Amino acid sequence: MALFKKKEKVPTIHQKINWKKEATLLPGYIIILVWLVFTAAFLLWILAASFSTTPEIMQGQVFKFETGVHVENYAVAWSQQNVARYFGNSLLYSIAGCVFTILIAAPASYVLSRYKFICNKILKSSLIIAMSVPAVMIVLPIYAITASWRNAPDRLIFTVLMIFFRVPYTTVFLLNFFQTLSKSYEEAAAIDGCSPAGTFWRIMFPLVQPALVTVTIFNFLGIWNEFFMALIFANSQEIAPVGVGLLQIVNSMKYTGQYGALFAAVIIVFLPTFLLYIFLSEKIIAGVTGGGVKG
Amino acid sequence: MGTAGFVTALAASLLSLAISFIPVQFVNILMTLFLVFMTVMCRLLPERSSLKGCLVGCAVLTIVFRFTYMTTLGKLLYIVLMLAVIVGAVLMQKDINSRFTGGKKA
Amino acid sequence: MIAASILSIALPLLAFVLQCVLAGFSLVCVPSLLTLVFAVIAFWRKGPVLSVVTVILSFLQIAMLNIQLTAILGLLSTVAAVFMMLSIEKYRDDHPELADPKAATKQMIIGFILPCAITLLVMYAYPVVRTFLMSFFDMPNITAPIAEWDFVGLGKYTKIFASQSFIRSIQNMLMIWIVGGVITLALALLFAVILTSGIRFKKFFRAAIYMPNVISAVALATMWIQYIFNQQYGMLNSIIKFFNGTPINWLSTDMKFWAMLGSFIFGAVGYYMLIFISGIEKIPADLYEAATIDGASKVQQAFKITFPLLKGVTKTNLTFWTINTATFYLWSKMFSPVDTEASVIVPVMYLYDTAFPSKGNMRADAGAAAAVGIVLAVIILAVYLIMNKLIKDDEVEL
Repeated sequence: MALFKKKEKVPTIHQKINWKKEATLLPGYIIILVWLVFTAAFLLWILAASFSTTPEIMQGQVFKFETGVHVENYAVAWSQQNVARYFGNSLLYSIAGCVFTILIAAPASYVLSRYKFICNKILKSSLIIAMSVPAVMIVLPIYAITASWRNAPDRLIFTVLMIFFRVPYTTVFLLNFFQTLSKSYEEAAAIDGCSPAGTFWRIMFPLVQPALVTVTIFNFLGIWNEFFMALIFANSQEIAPVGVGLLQIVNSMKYTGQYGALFAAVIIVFLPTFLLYIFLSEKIIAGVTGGGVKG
Repeated sequence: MGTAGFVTALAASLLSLAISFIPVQFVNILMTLFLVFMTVMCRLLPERSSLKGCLVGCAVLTIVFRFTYMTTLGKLLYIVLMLAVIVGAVLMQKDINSRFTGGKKA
Repeated sequence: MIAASILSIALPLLAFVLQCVLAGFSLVCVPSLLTLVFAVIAFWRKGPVLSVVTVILSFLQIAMLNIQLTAILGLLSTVAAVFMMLSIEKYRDDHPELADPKAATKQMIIGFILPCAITLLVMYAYPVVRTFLMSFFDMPNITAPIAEWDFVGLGKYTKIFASQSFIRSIQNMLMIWIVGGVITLALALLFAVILTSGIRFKKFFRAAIYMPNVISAVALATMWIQYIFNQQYGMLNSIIKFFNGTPINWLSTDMKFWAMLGSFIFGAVGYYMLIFISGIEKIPADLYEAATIDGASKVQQAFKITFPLLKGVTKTNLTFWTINTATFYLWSKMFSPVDTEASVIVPVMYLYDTAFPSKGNMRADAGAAAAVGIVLAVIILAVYLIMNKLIKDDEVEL
């Protein structure tokens, strides 16, 4: 998948295709290709089905488009089946989540990496432990509290939960990056009369931009794909994000029987993450292994 | 850049004030009135970045707290307008920063 | 400054009093109270950050106070707070001796750490502790106050272990962990080895295999259920029909578990493959070269060099796999969306159904649900500790 930033071309020695070498690797190629062909095939079918009518799908004549390309399936999914609302909700949760998580995690991460104070080690260990705590251990008491509030602002609660849930991961992720920055920046800023907090926001924060971008991508994907917590805290038709929303659509499919629109909804739900992935796959893969993935 | 930021923020906050009258939403009127006030203050005292910080924070709070009370069209409009206010504030601050670093760091 | 500060203190106070008098004390009065408190502190300490906080809190008043008069008072007090903020800043500029670098650093540390610490306390520390306690009590419903809790000791634990559904869910989980684990990690390792053996288009393959892990699992599950496994027009049955076989009902009670497991594995392999790849790439190439010179075949190299040196990343993968298995929920839910089916039930599903029963006549048993959570956490911890003892990292000797 292409990097869309221009990089200097590393001069490669163009090797002539070594057929003998390729032959030994052939089994590997075959295995992978089988896997990928399967993936591509079903994605294409779903795409085609989203443009077909229900009878066509039932008969499996999806690729023929006898009655034309039914773009209205998407319109149906978008408005009738409320995909628009689920989409808007997810967008709200993801964007707000990403922004505020960084606002909480980045300063904390900076201070944890630089300064020695009483709770430093405890906090670091707590954050790492918090990262591995599964959601099941914390949802019950939180639900107990929020459910007892009358007129609870559901969306706000869910957004706050998403933010809090991503904070440990983001903080730990950024810790490593802050530790690599040299201290001379702060010394120079102090000489210029900048307050410590000002130094952070004006100098250090912009310096970790690449890490911020990567972690934001992960937070966005994480919140967009969140299901378990959404099922508990954002289950109503009003505030559901795309995950829960799609489940509701599938369940109601028994009554409406509009399979074309169902597949259109599926495509709409997974398209943003798919597009994000196509453009940013290198960054995402690098972030998964903490930058340990080479070339 | 600072002027552009000011114009954007002012226009956006005035528009959101206007929208609060159709239909009349008392709380929205008060909140957007305050945003207009803050935008003007930011222009009068450009070197005070705390003013811009408050402006951004208040714009965010406006969305957060009034979201559920708005019509669908209103929601979209408000988000756009508040974003415009935030962008305006950021532009005004950038203007100041560039003047700052130009002079200070020799 | 004095005037602005006095107004910033008096106006919220007035708003607070009026609100309480006219509408009683409730959540909406809180911002006024907080503004008052912060305005006093900000004025006393001449703190610029505190005064900014005061402005924000004061703005909250306008949002939350629900009587027109008090809301207007809120607006006025916010304006006053702004002027107080400006005058405090001017005061600090005029009195440079007040700026204390050490204090400033300390303030920054506290200010930056506080939100994070609050997050940890509210979202993790408190809930975990409370879940642990809940597992020893019986309560009428999940929102019952502590006064209504009934101590039952290990009663909830015995209850869940006596429950058929729970036992079945644990069985399913073990099947997923063992069978699924072996298949997923084997496939991941296979792909990782293939991709690092020097084939072309490595980046593309890597990205393509990892892709299902990134897209929404709900969408992926829907694709599998609605298309691939569909009896009439589904992909698998179409292939079977093509070879003149009899179509299988993939979603029948017998097959459902395996269908679910298969589709889950498909999406999961990519992640573990990436971890394995990063582990393989850490192995220096000279080891392989030396082995090739000594006449070892690629397969022999794989077994003698690659696998032993992958102990570290295997541990990582096993840890993540265990956590993913213990918290397995989404796929089970997608394969039994309306009613939980025994063929796909997993512990988290049992927890969810116990805490939020959908059938009206069943009583929510939050204590039992909490017990399930604790059991899962213990299982994860136990697996992690045992694994750490068994698998020692082999460091590459250079």
